[in-house]
Amino acid sequence: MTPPRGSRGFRALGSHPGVHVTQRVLLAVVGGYLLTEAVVSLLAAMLAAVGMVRSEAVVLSMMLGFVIYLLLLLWAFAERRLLRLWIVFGGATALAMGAVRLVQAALSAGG
Amino acid sequence: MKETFRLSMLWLHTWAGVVIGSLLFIIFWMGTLSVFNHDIDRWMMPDTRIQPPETFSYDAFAEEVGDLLPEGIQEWGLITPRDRVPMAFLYHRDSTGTFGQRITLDLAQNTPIPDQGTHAGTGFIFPFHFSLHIGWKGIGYWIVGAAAMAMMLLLVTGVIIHARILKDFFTFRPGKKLPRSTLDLHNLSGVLVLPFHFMIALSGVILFMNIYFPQAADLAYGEEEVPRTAFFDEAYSSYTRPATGEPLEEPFSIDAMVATATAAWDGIPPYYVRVINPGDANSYVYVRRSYQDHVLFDRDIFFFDAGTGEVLHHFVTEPIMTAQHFLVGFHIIQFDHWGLRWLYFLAGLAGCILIGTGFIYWLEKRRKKHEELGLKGLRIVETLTIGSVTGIIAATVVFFVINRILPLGFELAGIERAILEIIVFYVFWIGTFAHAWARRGRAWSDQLWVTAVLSVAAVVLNALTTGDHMIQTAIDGQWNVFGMDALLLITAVLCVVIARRLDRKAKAVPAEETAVPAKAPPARVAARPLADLTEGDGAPPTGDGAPAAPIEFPTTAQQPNDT
Repeated sequence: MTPPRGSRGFRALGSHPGVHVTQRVLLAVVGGYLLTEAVVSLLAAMLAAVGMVRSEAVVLSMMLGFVIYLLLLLWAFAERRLLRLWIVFGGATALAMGAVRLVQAALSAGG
Repeated sequence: MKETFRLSMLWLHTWAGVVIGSLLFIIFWMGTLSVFNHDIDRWMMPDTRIQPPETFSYDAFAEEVGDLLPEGIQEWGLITPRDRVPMAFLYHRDSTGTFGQRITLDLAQNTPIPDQGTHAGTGFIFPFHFSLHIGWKGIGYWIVGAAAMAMMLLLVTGVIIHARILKDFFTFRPGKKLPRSTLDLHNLSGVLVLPFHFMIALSGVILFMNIYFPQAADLAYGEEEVPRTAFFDEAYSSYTRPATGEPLEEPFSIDAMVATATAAWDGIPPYYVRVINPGDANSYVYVRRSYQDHVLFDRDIFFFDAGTGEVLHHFVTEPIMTAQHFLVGFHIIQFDHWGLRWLYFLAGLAGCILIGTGFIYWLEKRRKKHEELGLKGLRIVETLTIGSVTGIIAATVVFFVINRILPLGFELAGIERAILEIIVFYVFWIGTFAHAWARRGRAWSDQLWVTAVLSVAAVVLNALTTGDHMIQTAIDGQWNVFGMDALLLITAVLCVVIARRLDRKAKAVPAEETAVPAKAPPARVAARPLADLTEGDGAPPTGDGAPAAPIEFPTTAQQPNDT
């Protein structure tokens, strides 16, 4: 049986089962939530920007947020390579939260 | 994270289940009881077993309402009796704008109902379900939300790891050995009620979406000064009109306003009527539609001018928000439909069985191996499982029993009755964990026996303290009290049946264990007919002599307790 590919670079961190599982659970639960939260805000703003009633855009995004979070959780435990999880959750969350800040800055500058 | 997708999902299903299962069971149990929260209220609050009035006039009520309330109030509001709630609730905001003490009214007698000294179903069991009574920073809501996400995760992974869904609709082998029959029951309850369980978890988090995604409106409402307030005002209606300070010359008939609204709602009456700034020239009346006739948890509100009766504003939710309110209504079943209500109850119980059997399967599959390896984890999981399954059931019944023992107005060391009931609940519940730790597997049957005795005691105490025994309530048509008593008796019977079965099994186990040192293969041969024998209801031993003897062996109390 070969060790999971991709975990090579994280061997020190990822090889011990307890450490590995802790990382994965934290990435899934906390990382997944932060990503979902940012996506919900962005989606609401985008839907409102393309003409949906503002309150409706927010409610729809919130409701979809739970489904998005569920899918992220499932994927976080299905993906074998921990490194990829770090890249996607870390990267996507950073990107989404950065985008949230940018839009906020643009709005406060415009308003 | 494992070699294959299915193995990953199996790992996730197992460990999410073991870690979150206790919490999920507690939430499911309290949620299942909350289906009948108002009926539990009637049982625990005997003075509310009343009849609502045949007719009711808001105008007559408005004239006298001042006697019940302090001076200078900013608003009063009345929730009128519903199908399962025969009393009315009077709310008010005092001159500073804060909500005052709610008053419960018997509208037929036109008198306030004294405090019933209990939080009962609506004040204790129902909030337990969604907040665990952990108020600090709303953390209880987050724990329950996480559990709901875990429930959805468990259902999805359960389907993935499980290839033979259709077959399991029809598979239950109670006669098989414990892990197998438990797994059958786990699969059966999981598959059969799967859509309900998924939707109840999803609608549960959607119900509190504003708690879980508090920042959702920050960008879409980014140009507003306070985005979240602006969102709430638009999404949930916030019609207001400030008071002028001038007196209102002649108030318009509230009954006429209600009639206008009722006509617009095809004859459905209001659920909540509020008079804001009563007596002021700018006073207005809020009339909200009842949701008794459909699943949708309505937010359909008319605002009338209190002086002219003209409609100032009519609020209805936008389509997507209406869909959200439908999901809320689906979750909290405030509509009147007894058939569906019982189905909800049974589906909730199926959820409890699903979670409980998942635990038992995990325990039974590992017991031998863990004991050989000397691992401690099993005992912890076992204790948590027993305390959160039979423990909370027993503690709930204790909550009912203590309610019928403590007289109204009872106090102990300055603690009022309503709090005492809750203290007794928690102390007993914690005790069940200690008991489970000490007695290990035997605690299942012990706690079931205790629950059975307590359930019968609750029914007897209700009859003794209120006179409403089951024949009386059947004659009077007090079906909520009758139903509560009936369910308690059914609980007692079920507990006895299961406990007896467990006891029989426990008697067989030492025999199995004495056979173990004699080498594995013969032990298996001996164990099989034994297990099958103990499954049958009082069936005589039909084994071939050898296994029959150990069955008679542990008739005395000499067997070790820590099996």
